[in-house]
Amino acid sequence: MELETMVALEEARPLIVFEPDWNDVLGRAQEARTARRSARGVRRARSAALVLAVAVATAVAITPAFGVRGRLGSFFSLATASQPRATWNLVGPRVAATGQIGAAARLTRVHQRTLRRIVSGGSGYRQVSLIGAIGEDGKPWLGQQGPGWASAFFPLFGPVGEVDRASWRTRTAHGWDGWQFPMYGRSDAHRVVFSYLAFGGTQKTAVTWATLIGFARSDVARVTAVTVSGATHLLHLGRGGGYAYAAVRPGELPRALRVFDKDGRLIGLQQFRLEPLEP
Amino acid sequence: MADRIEQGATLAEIEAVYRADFERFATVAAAICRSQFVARDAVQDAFATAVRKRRQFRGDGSLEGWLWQLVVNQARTHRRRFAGRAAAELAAAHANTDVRRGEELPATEAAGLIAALPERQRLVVFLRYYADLSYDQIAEALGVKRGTVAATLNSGHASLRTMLEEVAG
Repeated sequence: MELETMVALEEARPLIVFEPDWNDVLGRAQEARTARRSARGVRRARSAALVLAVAVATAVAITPAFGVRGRLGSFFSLATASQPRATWNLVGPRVAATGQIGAAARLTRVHQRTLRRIVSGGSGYRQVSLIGAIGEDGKPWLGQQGPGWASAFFPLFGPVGEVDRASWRTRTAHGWDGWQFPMYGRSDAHRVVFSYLAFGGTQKTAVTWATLIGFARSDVARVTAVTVSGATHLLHLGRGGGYAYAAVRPGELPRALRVFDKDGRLIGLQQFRLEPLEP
Repeated sequence: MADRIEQGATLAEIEAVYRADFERFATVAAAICRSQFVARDAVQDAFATAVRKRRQFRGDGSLEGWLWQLVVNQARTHRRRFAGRAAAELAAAHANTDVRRGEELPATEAAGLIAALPERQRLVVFLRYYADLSYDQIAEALGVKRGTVAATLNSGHASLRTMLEEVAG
């Protein structure tokens, strides 16, 4: 094959920006099955479901009288449905690739049409958003954005490059108040959460505020933040597992993040040391 | 093998091929559909079909060949169904053509030349160079004879060469 033809084929080789998603395949297969089944007899299925629902409701209502509710409960708890594999879902509203985030996307060569705001936390100049995107390698990349600044994007998994190191100390328009901190847990696919912490203070000797944002793997059910004063805050997990915690007083600063699965087991722990960074 | 002939492919076997070769499936589908987002749907739908019909896989060919057949057919169907969407994406890509992709031939122009090939030539070229399939595997995926693959590939090369000479001239 001639070189020119080879070059043309390589130039036309499509760039793939999506990841394999086996659960989605299974979901589509199930949907198609369901659609076929419903086409065969929606009414029959509805009648059967109604009869079943009445039967279950009746059973639940009368079983205490016969002392068998415990057994009924055990019956349901024995059901062992196959558990989906844990995944990372970078979902959120679309972000226009304009201004600094657009420049950052171009600089680090992530696909500008794939920018998504995964989570936002804090307010005013302490506000930080985590922006997800698909890189040229077809893998997820992350960047941060705040009022008047944006970091470069870096890969969610894989080695940290030079561009990433530089972005660790991106100065914001707020001087010391805006020094950023490295992403905790990055380059570590075994973690159950990825957190990013921005913090600062009005004086160079003490940290007085912090904004913690991040997102959790799909098997995470609960995330709590423990403050330096010992209080525990349950963080809301948004669509895609995003969470945020904002502290505006020294006593509210986060000391640790605890991560639990649906059975209440502790499956992750992150500890934070908030110390002033030298510019 | 006898077990497979009786029972079809297993879910684990299909998943293993999906995970191992996803990028190749996606690349070929994207080349056919000329839209990576349409291609994603095509690959996902093709494998969903494979999951549903796995018991119908008789095992007289390779599992990979059967899956390639499903992906190629699904991609062709999607290309027809979502032609408008693909065109819009292509237009956007053209507007954002980037210098780092090469001075000699912008990606969209090369893709345009390849798109001008007859469909069978295009499919064979994609399967050969983007999926790195052998002649036998391509024949299995497209349901044609090995000799047909060789002849079609040869014609594809010749057509591309002619078009590139015209562009250069």
